[in-house]
Amino acid sequence: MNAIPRFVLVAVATALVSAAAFAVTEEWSYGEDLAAVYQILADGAGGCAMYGITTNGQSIVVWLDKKGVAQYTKRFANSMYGLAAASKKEIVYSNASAPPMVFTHVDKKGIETTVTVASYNLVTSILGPAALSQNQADSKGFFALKLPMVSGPIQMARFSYK
Amino acid sequence: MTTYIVRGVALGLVLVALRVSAVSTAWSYQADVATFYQVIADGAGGCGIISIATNGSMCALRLNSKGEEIYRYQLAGTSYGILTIGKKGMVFGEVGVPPYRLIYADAKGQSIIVSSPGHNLFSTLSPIFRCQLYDKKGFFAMELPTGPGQPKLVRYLNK
Repeated sequence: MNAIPRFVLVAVATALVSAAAFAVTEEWSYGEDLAAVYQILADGAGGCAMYGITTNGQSIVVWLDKKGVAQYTKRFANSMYGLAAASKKEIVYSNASAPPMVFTHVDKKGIETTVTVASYNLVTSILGPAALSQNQADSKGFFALKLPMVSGPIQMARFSYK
Repeated sequence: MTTYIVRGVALGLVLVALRVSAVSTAWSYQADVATFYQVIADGAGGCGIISIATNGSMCALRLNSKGEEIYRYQLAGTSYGILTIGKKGMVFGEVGVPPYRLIYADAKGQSIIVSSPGHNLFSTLSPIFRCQLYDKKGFFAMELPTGPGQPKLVRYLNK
């Protein structure tokens, strides 16, 4: 043990930790019939909620867990005003169905609660998709889209900082 | 005695109110920037920037809480903007010869190219260059000269 100076071991260990700390790895990807993804909100627990359009023109809301498994999926024939919030406990989105437009709250068990206000339509922003808030990262990684260079559906991928 | 206490408390409240409602300039940044397209606060007093330089090239920049440039990347082409910025670094897109890729730059200024074979990597398909112009201690704004000249990015503090 004494043959190798301690400072050399410390330097090697530091270099290894430093090298290991600086990397990006794709952890998983999701998407079978996605034509577009307009909004991504990280839930802070490694998963995210996303709003997009499917290849057959439907609006879709998906809540993915940290392994990229869909724990909630909802498809609509009509357009949407996107997601209002996402956390590890819930998501909230606006559905631009026939008036009155409503918000839908979904808990982590997938139970939906409709939020309505009499005589009002609830929307995230009057500008709709042009003003959707985005949150594409958490403390351990980020989300991005993979657009096929030839043809095929879009995938949303999770990348980690390691 | 009671009068003095009441006056002291009143003066303290006035001073606190004055302090809370103030705005001051912390620093400004100009360098070779001709246009600021995107500014995103990093939550620690600094920010990430997508800009056009005076020589026409597009750059990704990062400024620290003192307004010092701690990262610069000249894009090979254009960008759809910064996806995220924070303690871990910042991630932005580069749109050049396909496949389009992401650049991850850590807080020390090291950067990695992120690519995926057969795919272009992209942000969401929403309007790009989304800005985040504030954090808990202040905000960012641009000073545009009314005549010829370069713009500045200015950091304001809420005090």
